[in-house]
Amino acid sequence: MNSFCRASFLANLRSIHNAGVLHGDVGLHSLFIKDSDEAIIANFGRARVVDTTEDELKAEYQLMCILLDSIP
Amino acid sequence: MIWSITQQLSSRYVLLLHLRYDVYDTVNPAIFYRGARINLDNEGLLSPPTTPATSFPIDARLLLFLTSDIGDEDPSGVLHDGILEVEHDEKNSSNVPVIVKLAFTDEQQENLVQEWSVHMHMLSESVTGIQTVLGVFHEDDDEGPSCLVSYCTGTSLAERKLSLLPNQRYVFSIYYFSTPVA
Repeated sequence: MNSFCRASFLANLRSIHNAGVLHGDVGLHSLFIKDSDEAIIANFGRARVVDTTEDELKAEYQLMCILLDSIP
Repeated sequence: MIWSITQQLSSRYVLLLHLRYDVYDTVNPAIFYRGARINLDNEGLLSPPTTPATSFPIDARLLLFLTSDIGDEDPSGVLHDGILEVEHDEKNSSNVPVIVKLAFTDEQQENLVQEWSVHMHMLSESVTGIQTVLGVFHEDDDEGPSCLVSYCTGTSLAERKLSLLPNQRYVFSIYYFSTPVA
């Protein structure tokens, strides 16, 4: 994965978190790359807006970092 | 072009759904109306008579052809690939590849409404880099399914992983499967 895509995924997740939304299902099946190298986050079937805590958002962000770092 | 189609989509309130995969090749479509099914507690009510698909004007209807069952399932439904046909007039139309999530049970339908509301919230907050949802629809039949229609979002990293070389996949798996999921 190139650095541009990695940064885009993290920026997108931060944008989601800034709206107070916990995705709840961050995984390879929820992260998409379009032909133009545009990073897209999908699958919000487990997402929630209410009762999210800073710790949950932080943990989800860290999980995303680990996932992205593990991709060759 | 996509923007133009999106504009046209928002004003169309009927979705005519055909199945076109495996053994399915439906002649008469299932009729879905735009919007979420709000009242799930409607047992005992009679279903309205089925309306012939051709009775809906072209500028009010969307044609959806489900082309495969992706097989992925989450709390709000089962994912399918599809083609959305937007008719401009009797001879011209545009086709848009879409992802369709079909919710069958009451629980799935409630979760689908929740997912839709999360998308609306993110839209109002100008969230970037997420899949574009075209609409939520519910079947004419009181006990029928609901569906969420989204633009195709490209290739998932899970699909890309399948195309890795064996040694790359090994390294990847160590990281991925050793990561605890909350």
